[in-house]
Amino acid sequence: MRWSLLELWRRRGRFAGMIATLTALCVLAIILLALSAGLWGGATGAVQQSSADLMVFSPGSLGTFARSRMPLADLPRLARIRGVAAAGALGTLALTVTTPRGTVDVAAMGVLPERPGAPARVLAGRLPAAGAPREALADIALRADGVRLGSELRTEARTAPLRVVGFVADTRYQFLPTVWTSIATWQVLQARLQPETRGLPAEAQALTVRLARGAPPGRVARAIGALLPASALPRAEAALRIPGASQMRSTIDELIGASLAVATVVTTLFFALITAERRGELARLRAFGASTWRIAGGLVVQGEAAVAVGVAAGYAGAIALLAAAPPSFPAVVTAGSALGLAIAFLITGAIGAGATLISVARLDPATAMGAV
Amino acid sequence: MPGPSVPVVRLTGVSKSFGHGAAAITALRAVDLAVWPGELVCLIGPSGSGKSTLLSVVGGLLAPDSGTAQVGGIDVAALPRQARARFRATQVGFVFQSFNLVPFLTARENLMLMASLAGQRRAAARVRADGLLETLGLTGRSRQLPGQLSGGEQQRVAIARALINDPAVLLADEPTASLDTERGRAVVELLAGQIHERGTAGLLVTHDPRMAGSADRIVRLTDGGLIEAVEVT
Repeated sequence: MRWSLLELWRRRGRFAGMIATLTALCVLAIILLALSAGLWGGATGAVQQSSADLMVFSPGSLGTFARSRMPLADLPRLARIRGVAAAGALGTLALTVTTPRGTVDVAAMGVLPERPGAPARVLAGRLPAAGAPREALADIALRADGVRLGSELRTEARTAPLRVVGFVADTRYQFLPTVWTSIATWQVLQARLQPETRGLPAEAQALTVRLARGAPPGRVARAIGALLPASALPRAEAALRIPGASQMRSTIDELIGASLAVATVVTTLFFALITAERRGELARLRAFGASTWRIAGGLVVQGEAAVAVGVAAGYAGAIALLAAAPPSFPAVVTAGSALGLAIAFLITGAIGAGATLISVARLDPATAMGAV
Repeated sequence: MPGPSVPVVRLTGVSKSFGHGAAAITALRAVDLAVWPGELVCLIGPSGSGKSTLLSVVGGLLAPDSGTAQVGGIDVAALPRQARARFRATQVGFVFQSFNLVPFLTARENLMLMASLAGQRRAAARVRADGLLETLGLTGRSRQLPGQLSGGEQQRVAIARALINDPAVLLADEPTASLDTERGRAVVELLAGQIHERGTAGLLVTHDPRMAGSADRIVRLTDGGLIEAVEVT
């Protein structure tokens, strides 16, 4: 195995083309991965960061907020279901607010104070107090628009301005930064902006549930479905139902998969080529007594080392590019996803180099002597 | 030549053909041959006479169609594939026409690679490689890549590589073909000296009868048949 690494080092010019190609593919894959995570977070962050374990939608809504209407009158019945620790409500609404630096489109999220629904973690400040309808939480992204603790946001609905009392992170909804207010304020905003909803019974788009410790989500969801004309979805499933989110993610994931497929083809072709080129050398090694596994193992180690160099260079390049990207570029890289991608690239290297096993096994050591 | 009663190499009625039917070519025809410890046998003959095939059969690279090829009392062709590879690594030293050193390894590393194939420990292999390189006049060249060595030096490294595992038999296929006469003769003398000194059995294939002077015996192959044996005095 040591010899294959020595070859990689001493004949690095020969491997440079493959490593450069892998580096480029790796940069592309990491940026796509970061973009995928960033866009996913931008589309679904508000739901993912919610303190609710289950979200309850009206029947026929396909689990989407825009099509769902749930009466607040159902809350007491929902709260009595076994396994439900607390019940709340959630509504979404596209809204334009005026910040210190101008107007910004936001998603107004209405929740019941001190009930499940609002983001679980407040980054700075505090949660809005019950009975304080003007208080709101703002997504940290709004800091770029000059929003600070105590800032007042005027709404296009010409309601009383919302006062920011806390910041939350990573809570965008359909790529809009969010402003979290009480469900009562949200209903007022909705009535102003969507006159057709005026006069309807008090309702939200979804009811929210925090599960009791140890309560199985599936069983509680089935109990909710049996009691109410509604369907309860786990938070992650509700995020997937946001229109376009899962399609966008799968498209980008397919692009990442395509990069990995190309990486596999590149390593396979490269090692097929150099194995063909070195047939004589490898046949002599076989004649000298090297086993197929030993030679193929050396090639796999060589492939893995080359891929590791390409991945390391790719990660360095991608980090530099992402650091230079404007803050509006929606990129998120987690250690887990970065590690997963690196492992995927290493697997492509193993497949590419390992594919030579067949040609190595077919090497006839007698050709080393020229007798056949 | 006088010697111990048991030959290292014993070929008995070895035949080998390539191809089938009318297209079949007979490379070896009922060859009998014995090579004794410390004896260098030179195989001469025209192209296609079966010299390389004979070396391949002795080295366990080809199995004979009939007859037996024994090295150190072992019927080489009867060994399973893995055992045959092990046999080649530990019992056979090969020297090829074009040196065929691994180009990205230094002289010492070429020797150590071979030692590792035979399972030698790294530290011991290093000491042995340096000793062999010194013996073959390559002191100071051990860290050179093959491309930095002359043809004669490369062939001496190839001989050292063939000897690193103390093989029972050394098989040299046209080892002087890429060298001028003077260097070629020096290489053959070196080869013969090592074979005599170490008690290894040696088979040397050459086209050039002038190179046969250092051999103990000359065997002529024609059309796969051993037709003449000459003992060199």
